[in-house]
Amino acid sequence: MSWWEVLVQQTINGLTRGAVFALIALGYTMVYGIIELINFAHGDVFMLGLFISLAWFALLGVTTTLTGWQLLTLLPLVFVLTMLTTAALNVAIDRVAYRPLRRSTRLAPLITAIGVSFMLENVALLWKGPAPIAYPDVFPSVDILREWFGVDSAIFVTTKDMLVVGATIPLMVALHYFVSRTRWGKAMRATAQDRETAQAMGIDVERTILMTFFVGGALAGAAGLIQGMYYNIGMWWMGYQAGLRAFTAAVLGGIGSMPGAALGGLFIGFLSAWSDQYISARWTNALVFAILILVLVFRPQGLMGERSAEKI
Amino acid sequence: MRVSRITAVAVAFLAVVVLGGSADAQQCPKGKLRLYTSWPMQGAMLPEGTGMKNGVDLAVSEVGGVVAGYCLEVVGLDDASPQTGKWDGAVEAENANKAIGDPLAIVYIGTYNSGAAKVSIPITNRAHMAQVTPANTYPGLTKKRGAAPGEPDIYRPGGFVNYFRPIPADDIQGAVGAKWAKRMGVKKVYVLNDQELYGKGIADVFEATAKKIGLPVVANEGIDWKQPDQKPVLTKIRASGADLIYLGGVIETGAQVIIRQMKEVGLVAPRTRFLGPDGLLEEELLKGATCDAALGTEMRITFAGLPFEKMRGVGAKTYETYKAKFGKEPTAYALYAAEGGRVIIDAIKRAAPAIEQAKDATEKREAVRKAIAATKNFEGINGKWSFDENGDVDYDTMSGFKVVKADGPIGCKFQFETILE
Amino acid sequence: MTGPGVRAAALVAALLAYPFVDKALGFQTVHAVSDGMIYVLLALGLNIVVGYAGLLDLGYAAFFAIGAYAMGLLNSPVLGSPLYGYAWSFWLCIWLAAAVSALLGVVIGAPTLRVRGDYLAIITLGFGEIIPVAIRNLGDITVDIGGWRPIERLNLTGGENGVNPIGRPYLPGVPFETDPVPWYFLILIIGAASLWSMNRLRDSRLGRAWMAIREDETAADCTGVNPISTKLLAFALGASFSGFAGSVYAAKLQAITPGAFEFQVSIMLLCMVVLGGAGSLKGVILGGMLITVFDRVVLTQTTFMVRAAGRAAGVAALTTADLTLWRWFFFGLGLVLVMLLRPEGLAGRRVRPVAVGADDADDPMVLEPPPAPRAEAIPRWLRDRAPRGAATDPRAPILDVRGVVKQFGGVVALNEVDLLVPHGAIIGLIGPNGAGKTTFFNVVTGLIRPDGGRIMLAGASLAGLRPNAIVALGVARTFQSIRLFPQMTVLENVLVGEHCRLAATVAGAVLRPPAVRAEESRARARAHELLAFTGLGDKADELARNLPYGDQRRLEIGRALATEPRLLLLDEPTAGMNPRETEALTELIGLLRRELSLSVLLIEHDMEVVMGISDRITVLDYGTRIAEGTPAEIQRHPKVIEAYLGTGGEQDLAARDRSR
Repeated sequence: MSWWEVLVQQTINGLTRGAVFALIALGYTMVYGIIELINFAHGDVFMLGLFISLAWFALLGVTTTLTGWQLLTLLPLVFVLTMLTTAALNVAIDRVAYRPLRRSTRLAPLITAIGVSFMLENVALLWKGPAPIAYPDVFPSVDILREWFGVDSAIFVTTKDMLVVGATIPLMVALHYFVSRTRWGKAMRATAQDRETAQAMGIDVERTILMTFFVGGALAGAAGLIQGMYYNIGMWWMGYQAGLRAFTAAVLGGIGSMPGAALGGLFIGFLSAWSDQYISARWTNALVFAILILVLVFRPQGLMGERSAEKI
Repeated sequence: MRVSRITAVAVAFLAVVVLGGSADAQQCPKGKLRLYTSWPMQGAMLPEGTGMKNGVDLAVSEVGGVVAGYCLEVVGLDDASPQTGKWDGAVEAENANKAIGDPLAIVYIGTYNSGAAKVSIPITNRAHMAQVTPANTYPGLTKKRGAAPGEPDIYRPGGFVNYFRPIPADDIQGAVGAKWAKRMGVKKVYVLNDQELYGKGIADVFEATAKKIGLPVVANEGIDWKQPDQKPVLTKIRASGADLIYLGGVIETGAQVIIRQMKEVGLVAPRTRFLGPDGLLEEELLKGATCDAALGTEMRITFAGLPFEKMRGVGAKTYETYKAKFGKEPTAYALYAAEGGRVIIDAIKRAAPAIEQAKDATEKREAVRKAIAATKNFEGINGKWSFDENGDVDYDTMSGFKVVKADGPIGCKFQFETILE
Repeated sequence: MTGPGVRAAALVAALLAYPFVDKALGFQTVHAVSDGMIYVLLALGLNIVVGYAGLLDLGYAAFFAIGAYAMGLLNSPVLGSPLYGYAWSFWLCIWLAAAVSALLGVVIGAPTLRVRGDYLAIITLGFGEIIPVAIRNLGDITVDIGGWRPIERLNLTGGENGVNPIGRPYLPGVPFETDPVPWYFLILIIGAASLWSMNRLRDSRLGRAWMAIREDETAADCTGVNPISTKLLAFALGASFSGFAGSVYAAKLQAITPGAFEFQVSIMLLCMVVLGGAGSLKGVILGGMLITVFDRVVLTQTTFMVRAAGRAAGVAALTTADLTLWRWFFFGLGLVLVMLLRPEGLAGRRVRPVAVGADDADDPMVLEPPPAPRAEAIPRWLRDRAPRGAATDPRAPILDVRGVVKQFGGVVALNEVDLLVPHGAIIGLIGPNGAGKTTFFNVVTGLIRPDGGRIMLAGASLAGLRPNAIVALGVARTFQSIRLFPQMTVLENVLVGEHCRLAATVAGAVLRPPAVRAEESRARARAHELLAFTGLGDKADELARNLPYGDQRRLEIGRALATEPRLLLLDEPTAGMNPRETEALTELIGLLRRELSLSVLLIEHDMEVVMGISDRITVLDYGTRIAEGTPAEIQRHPKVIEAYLGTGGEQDLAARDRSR
């Protein structure tokens, strides 16, 4: 492979990695925007999303690669089922662990979020065992350049790469439409800006928060499914790691900003993939967090966010 | 307030001690001796921990629990940490101190993790108590080759050897692995490690040996094993043109991910193959990595000692007894735990007169320690062997395994391929 | 009085006797208890950062690691690097480790000064991730620049091997090598000393400053507390305690590996602090004990019991149950439950929930009329300090603002505003909502940096000064929406006001030499006098948040007076008061001017008040000064009438504002 082929390939790696981060980051940023809570359990909802999608595949009898009409029917079905399950899970978490603490100190819901995160990880550990587990090749993998275009290149672009991009972009577009055009979306934005005023304007704040958790959970579930199909492996501890990087992405983009979360996710994806190649995989985490700290110090509003003045 | 809390702690600990030890009504004309075991006994490590405990129990039960008039009692301790579920230095230190504080304790059996042994060996050494491990393979615990500066003397504050391992160390396995790679016709190796003691240690030895025997090594790189996405690292390897990946790691640190994703980036035989150490010799690995990927990369594994089914004599007999007694296949280190138990029993037998004359616990322990160090031509599971002056076995029989197709739910298995020297 | 004394004596006796009882009974629990105590010590250090200063730290294990590695690297006889190789004494290293940790606390704390709240938590989390990675990776460094390798396989930290062995403390005749009991006492001594000093720190000028920052950083800044140095000090002190804990941990274990300092440890420590009750020393100890005991004892014991119950009942599933597998589940559940049932922690101060609408302006439930301010109640010390123009030129105005400009984006909030406050004058600042009055206050007090113009206080420029420095020069303020330190007592609120007039340092706060003692008791006496003067004398020990509205207003003024101001800025002091309270407050302001010749700049919407009390009035509209003059002049000023009434208005000035 020549140097540019390596760069292109690593950029593709970064793109797919970043797309998954972006989907998780959206959930973080939405919840933070609306109740100012770093939802530590969010990464674990993503992790459970992967295992739940695996369970749905198993329930539908899918163990091998899907083809033809099965691919067109079963895969969307599993997407919907997984997203609904994780959305319901996320809503339940909010109801049980966060909602009673809305009027409490800032620290209290953060601690329960950590507690919930531990519980979810423990559940996954007991459910699937301590070792990484294989995720079946449900999505067909075709080397596009070689097999479809007959180009003999050292660069691999597979249908799986297409899947990640092809599933992420519609989800983000749908989310954007939802937030900017629908009544629910407007209620969410209003609540995020000023909860009291929103309430005074007749918006049911609790239901809006519930909807936020629902949408965030659904996105995490989709991310889990995509992650499973793309990387073909799942482990109980990956929620924490992915959550941390996704949160970094959300902060980079400016927490509360949805386009920011998407861009931040991609940025972290590229950065970590390039770091794996050009520095060393063992320094990547340190690099990601160093960037995070630098951004927070020198541009705390993030790359996309707006500086908000404190009310005095 | 604080007083009652401390009392509560104390009472609870008392309960542990009382419930942990068990009273027995055997005939013990010369009294009791205790063997302490210490390794993780929870979470993911529970099967292996139980297997090793079974191994020790097997050895003790072979002599009816009595040696030269002394009743043997096995006290099982857990050195896993509350915080992480993995071994923890503080807990291991506590265990070792518990053992040396018990006047009836004669030998300390453990640990599983070499990192834990680093903590406990100096403690047992000061008490002249022999420590026998069924599983530590980190070289630096006993010898200078493959060790960090100062090792192994730093573990011997008393200036004598009290730590013995009836199992070949990693420096041999890493070196054997490199030679095997050369024999396979590999042109260029990319070494990965999981940045843990075992994985990094064995990868370093592999790298050093490979360079010595003229096998080019592109890099010896630490990976972040917590990431479920290793494609960028594998892409880097593909770009380097290496035709073998050697991964120093264990199944708990995500070797599955590497193997599973090698296929995804086009790293399959004959272009690139996979070789790893015995930390990967677990069925769990094949489940996670899938047979497809394992077969595609022509995955091979080195193993310290012989495979159970290839053992002859004592080894074969032990294997059968274990299966009959516990109703399942022994775990990777269970039979070495049995071997360790037998070595200790044999030593107590030889040291019996000295134990009887001993004035205090330390002298008794010293007698047994000397007897263990003097173990010669022992009929072990891998054949006859003796301890060398470092407390290591003097054989280096290694075997090579390859993943082949097989019937059964997984679809493939590790099959013995060759004996390695 | 015998009760507490006897209890304390019993506690000390029990702590001293414990290891010997343990030895006699053969429990062998001293090691476990000592290890548990190390974690409790760490939690106490974290408590300074989280509980006192309110800075959420998610990466505290980094300091633990630094402490342990500082000890390890200095005190280990073997290490590959040429830098090391000579073991220093434990007794020296433990101080060095604490110093290194404190230094790192400042390094990590420095970037967080620019950020607040959750962002700060994220930065600490980032450091918590970076430091173990760095320690692991720095054990094997190779720098390869295109084939040139200036550094090859350098080992700085021992890498995944960790540091091993680490020297133990040496004291003649004390068997640190073989016996856990000396360790127990060493940790006990360090722990007791730490507790003692933390206790003293909490009840000092510094402790109050931390809590003020925690409660309301902006208000603290405007009350004379420097948030930068206060926060850095919290980080440094919190870190130094972990430096002690880390070095004892390293020396006791004689071996450290990077794996022992990961995120879980940070979280575990945070949970210890929060579980027991952040800010409460007793609570943190309780939380630490509970978590340690739960981990080491409860789960294994319950497993025994469940299995026994299973055998008795013949349920096969129970006999093989292993609850230790559920550790994290139970742990998480415990955290959730404690937070849901007692969010303030097990031993935390139970806080009465704020009734909904408690800060509603027109509270009909004000029963007793506020006491009328009396001139003879003015504390003598305040009179003594009254700025009778001794130090400064009495002819120079106390505040002289010329041409101040401030823009927010495209909006001009202040446009070339001039304002003059002569010595001992009461100046009113009025204008419609959004006219820029509060912005003007914020510019004068340093919260906002003006884009142009100059601000002189008694002839000295205030340009570029931090709010707390401006307070120290003698400018105090209150806020439009009351900003007290709600979780501190009334007395503590006033004591924070005195912060910039006190001098105790860390060493002083801990060691309490006579000078510091005298200063502190004087400060308390003054605070009590001030409370008596403002009519809050009998409420000194109540939490500020539990005061009725009118009292909160008066407390805010009392806190401002405690800073010994020359100029007092009051931002709508009578907002939300009933007529009687308003009257009393107006009298108070007049009294302050009369008796203390205090200058006052007053934003006020109640025209009756402002017209009645002010010497002169400045009117702002859209950031521009549209009028200046005596109350009578202002009332007739056509521009003012236009600004207030707009085009179609029919109400008169006073009525419009009364209805607000």
